[in-house]
Amino acid sequence: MTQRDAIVYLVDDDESVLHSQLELLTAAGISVESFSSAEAFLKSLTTRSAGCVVTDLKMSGMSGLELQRKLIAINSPLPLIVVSGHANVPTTVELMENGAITLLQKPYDAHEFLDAVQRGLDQFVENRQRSTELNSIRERMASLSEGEMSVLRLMIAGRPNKVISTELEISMRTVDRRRSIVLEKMQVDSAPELARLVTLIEAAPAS
Amino acid sequence: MPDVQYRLDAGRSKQTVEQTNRLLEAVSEIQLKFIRECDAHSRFEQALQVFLDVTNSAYGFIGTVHYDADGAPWLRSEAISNIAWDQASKELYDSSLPDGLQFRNLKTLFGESIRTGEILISNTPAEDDRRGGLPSGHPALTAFMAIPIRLDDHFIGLVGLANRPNGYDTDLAGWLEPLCTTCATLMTAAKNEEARQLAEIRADQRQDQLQTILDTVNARILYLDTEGRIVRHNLLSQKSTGLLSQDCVGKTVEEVGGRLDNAKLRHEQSLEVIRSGKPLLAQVVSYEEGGEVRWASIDKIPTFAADGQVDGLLICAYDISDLHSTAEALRQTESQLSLLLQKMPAVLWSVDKDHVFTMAVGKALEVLGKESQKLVGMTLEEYFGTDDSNSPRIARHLAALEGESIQYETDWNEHSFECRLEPIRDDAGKITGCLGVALDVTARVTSEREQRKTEEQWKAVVKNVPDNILVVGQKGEIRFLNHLKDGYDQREVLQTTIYDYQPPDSHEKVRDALRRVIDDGESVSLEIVGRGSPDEWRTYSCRFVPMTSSSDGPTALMIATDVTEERLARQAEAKHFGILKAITEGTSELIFAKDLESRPVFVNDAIAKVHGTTVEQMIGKAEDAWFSEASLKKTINDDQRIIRTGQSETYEEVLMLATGERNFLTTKCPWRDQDGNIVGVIGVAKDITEWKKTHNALHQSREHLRAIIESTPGCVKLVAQDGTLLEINAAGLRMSEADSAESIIGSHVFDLIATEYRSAFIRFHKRICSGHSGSMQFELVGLKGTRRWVETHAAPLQSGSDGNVVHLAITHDITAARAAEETIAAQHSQLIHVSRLSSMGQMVAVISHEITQPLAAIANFAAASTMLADQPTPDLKKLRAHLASITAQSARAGQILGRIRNFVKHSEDNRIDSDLVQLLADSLTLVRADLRSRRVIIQTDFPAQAAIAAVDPIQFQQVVVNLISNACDALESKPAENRRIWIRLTENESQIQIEIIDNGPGLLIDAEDQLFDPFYTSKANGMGMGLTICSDIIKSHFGTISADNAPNAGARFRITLPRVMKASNE
Repeated sequence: MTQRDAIVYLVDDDESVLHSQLELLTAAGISVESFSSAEAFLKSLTTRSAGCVVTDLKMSGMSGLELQRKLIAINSPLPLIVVSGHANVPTTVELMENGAITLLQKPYDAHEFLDAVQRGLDQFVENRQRSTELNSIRERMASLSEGEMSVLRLMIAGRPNKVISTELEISMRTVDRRRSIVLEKMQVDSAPELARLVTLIEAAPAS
Repeated sequence: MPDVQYRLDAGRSKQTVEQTNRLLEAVSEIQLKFIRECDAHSRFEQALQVFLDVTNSAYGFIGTVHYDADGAPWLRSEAISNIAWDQASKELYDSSLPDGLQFRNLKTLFGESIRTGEILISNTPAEDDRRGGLPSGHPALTAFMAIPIRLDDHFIGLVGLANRPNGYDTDLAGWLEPLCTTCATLMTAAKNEEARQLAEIRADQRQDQLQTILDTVNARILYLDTEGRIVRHNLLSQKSTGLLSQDCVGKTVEEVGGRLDNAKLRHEQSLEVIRSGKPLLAQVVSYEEGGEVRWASIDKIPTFAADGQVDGLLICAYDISDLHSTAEALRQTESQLSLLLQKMPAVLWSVDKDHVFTMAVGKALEVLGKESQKLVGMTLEEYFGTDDSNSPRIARHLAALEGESIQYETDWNEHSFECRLEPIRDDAGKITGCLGVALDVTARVTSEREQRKTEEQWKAVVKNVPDNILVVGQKGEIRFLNHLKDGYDQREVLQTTIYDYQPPDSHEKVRDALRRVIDDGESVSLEIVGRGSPDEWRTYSCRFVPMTSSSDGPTALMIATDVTEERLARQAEAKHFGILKAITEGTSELIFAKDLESRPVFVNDAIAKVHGTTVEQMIGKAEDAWFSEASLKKTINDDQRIIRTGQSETYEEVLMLATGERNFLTTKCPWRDQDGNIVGVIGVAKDITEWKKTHNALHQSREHLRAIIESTPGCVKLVAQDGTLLEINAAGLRMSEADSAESIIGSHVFDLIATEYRSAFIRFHKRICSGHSGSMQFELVGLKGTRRWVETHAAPLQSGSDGNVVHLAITHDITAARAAEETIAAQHSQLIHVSRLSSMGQMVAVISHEITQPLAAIANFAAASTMLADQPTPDLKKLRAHLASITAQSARAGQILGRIRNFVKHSEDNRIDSDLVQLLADSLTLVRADLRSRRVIIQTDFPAQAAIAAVDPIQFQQVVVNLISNACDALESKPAENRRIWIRLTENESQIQIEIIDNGPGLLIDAEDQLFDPFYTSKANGMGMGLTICSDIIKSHFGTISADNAPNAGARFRITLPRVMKASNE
């Protein structure tokens, strides 16, 4: 992804702030789309949206914190930067724990702002790469039959073939065959590698 | 090959003639190639070359026409000029050489010919609208001709020629006809060949399937041709002959030989079946395999060709060895049985249901003077010469025919017979006749009778001896016995052996004794168990002595004396002793018996263990090794006293043993013999050393506990369910201000609880008594009137003589801690008030948030402007716009700041008609917790009906809460039990008046005037804004607020608000 593809989505209910941020980022050569409410932004959001979000914390409608919760709920890969006049400690903690890039106190230094935006864009690239890898693993996993899946579960639990055969009530030959199919389909050479992939999937939020 | 038709045109030039010759030569050359079986591909290659040569064309192709399932024609190239013009087309050409290119797009010139089946000539292809276009890079097409190739009426192929310098015409096509016909032949041949190859592949597959079936069948299968040579055979037959497939196929069975015997004979037999065409079934043969004779059933079945002639022979051999051996065994048994009957001195006969003899065999028939043949066919009645069915002989048979088994003895012709009649049943269990067997026992009976006479006399003698006397043979068979026990039959016993009356485990012992007596002539005594009667085991002391041999071989005399009672008595004794032993050894109690000199005659393991020695070491010895001198002296004294007095004693004693000091609970009693004389001392001692230790420790810990409880600074008390004080410690006495325990124990504990907490405490007490633990804070009033805050931790205690649950409470004085807590609570509530009431502060927060917006915007525009300005050609228009925005945002910031001043006046939007009584009540709810912690009591005086005024409820409540809070602050200096606030609401026609009065120190005289000025405060940590805001709020509601000192009380604040009159019809 190049800088050109990325868009900074500005959300603020204060028109002057929104306008000034837009001008600042445009002057810095960054593509921008601006929204006067979190609701309007969410409406425009698609799976192709790429870049990062800069939002005010206190707004007349949905707050910046609620917007963050919504984005997490729909598993959006867009990183979030929050600007605020004053945020209390619990809100700040929740924002940061939920993975906000940073929380900027208004009025902020322009360089600080541009730096945060750049970090957000970098973070997005990283998020997207990781989700591509996860999707690839999920696709491979989806290609497994039910029987192969149950062998996989026991394989990554470290059970030897004999135990798998007993637990699933299938022959050793079948276990052997399924084991090699599982490894082949998942494109790995060994059970530990397989376990790593499965762990990645299980640690990731469901998509 | 059909005749080749061609024509020579006389008008053609010499060159044409030469070309025609070339054409003819080519045709014959291609035919020659065909005859020599060159592959189809090169034939077509050659044909194409000839086409190109004779027509002088640049390139061309020969293709065969095929049809899809839906009938759409397509073309496959058999030969095509290599006109590859680039790498891709070259690869396509090379890869398609073996199988030919497939052309399915018929929107082309040659496609037109395929569709119509007509010759197509186009000498201006570029303009021809039938063309489909050429791939890019394809050499240019200047002329094209396509000639369909037909065989009979079928359209089977196409020849395409291109780029003849002079173009093409129909004459040329006609002239090429012989060559086309040759191509037609080639195409037909190629097609046939493909079909043949496909058929061969299918035939091979079927052969494989057949072989698999053959190999799976559990029989040996051979298939022979009409000469008797093996064509095919399965795996099993291969195993039995031990030969491999290649060794067998093509040879006759005779030539193969192998393990089969009479191979030549079999071969000939097979040829006979082939000749006659009649199958030979179930032929049984034997052969040897693995050193064992096996049997096989062989079927030989000729197979017929379509014309009805035999074309082969199928041989199937099944292994029937197991069946065969069973049949053989049966036959042998039958013949042995028949032989036995012939030789046996017995008669065997059978009678059917109609009483007719169906069989009579046996040697004994001779004795009877009967002949087998004569007897068979006679009826029972005829044979026995009577019709009387009650005659025993006939009756027996009738009974047998009814299903009984009958045994009897009879004498025929001075011969004695033992007879048996058995019913004969068919498979269904129905009786079809009876079978009789008669054994000639004449010789035995005679000798028995002789013997009996001689033995009679001495038997009479031994009969009178009480012991059992038996004469026993070498194998234990009983030849004689003098006494027959009840339940035994003399005759039966004499047919048995002595082993039949003994348990199996003693057989070996008796067998050994008999061997020694009979073979070695010894006398042997031993004790054995035997059946005294069928249901009773008895013990016998037996003596075996050898006897002079009798006619029946050597014998032994066995004299068995019944010693059962004696043994039982002995066993019972042993058993009792065993129980006693088990008791003494199984117990941890020390059990001992001593003689008159105090020497142990019995001690159990427990004693030995205590002394660290063994039982054997102690018996019969003086005890000085085990006790200290003093302890020994004491025990001996005790023993002697008991011996002297004859009285049992139980006492605790501490004895110094060699192994250390131990405590015992000892019981000693005199030991008397059967005559009642004292012969020693019997004692049981329990080692209570450990128990004693525990007991002492417990006692000690109780003392400690007692001491702790007494000295603990907390009040520890026990309260009965009805609230009576049962016990209390010293601290408790101090806390309750009682002079002595007696003065308070038995009194009611509830009286000590401050009245306001009493009912709560009683609930708490009941909860504890119902089995729960808990804690509670309350005020306690001592007997002398001192109030203290206490915290009690209570638990139910199963105690008291009646086993009831009592309330155990440990109570601490927390007055000091409580006071500290109240201070903290006061500070805390002050904080709450400050935050709740300082709308000023809230306003500042809101304003500061609002003001950051223009400030942030200004910063952003400024930064953007700087960036713009830094560019080589700054966008001045934009820069100016940014600066305008900065100006606008600055103005906005100014406006926001301006709103601070108007804040109070601007907040009158939420003014509604409200019931002030209700609002006052709500406000009191807000501060109730605070009032309680500050121990301020509020008294209200409100009218029963609503008092309506147009106010902003929140602002009004702010005022009320602020005034109450101020009053509370003023009351801090008063004693806790006397902090009061009165709130009173009164109304007249136009106004509502609210008074808030406290009994605090009141206002300073000169403070009344400045009270409502901003930043005036009498408090050390006040802001001085509260009353200012209150005043602003009330004034904005068109009301008044004033303050003065109330008579006989503290400060009084008075608020008046215009009253809203309710319409009478509402």
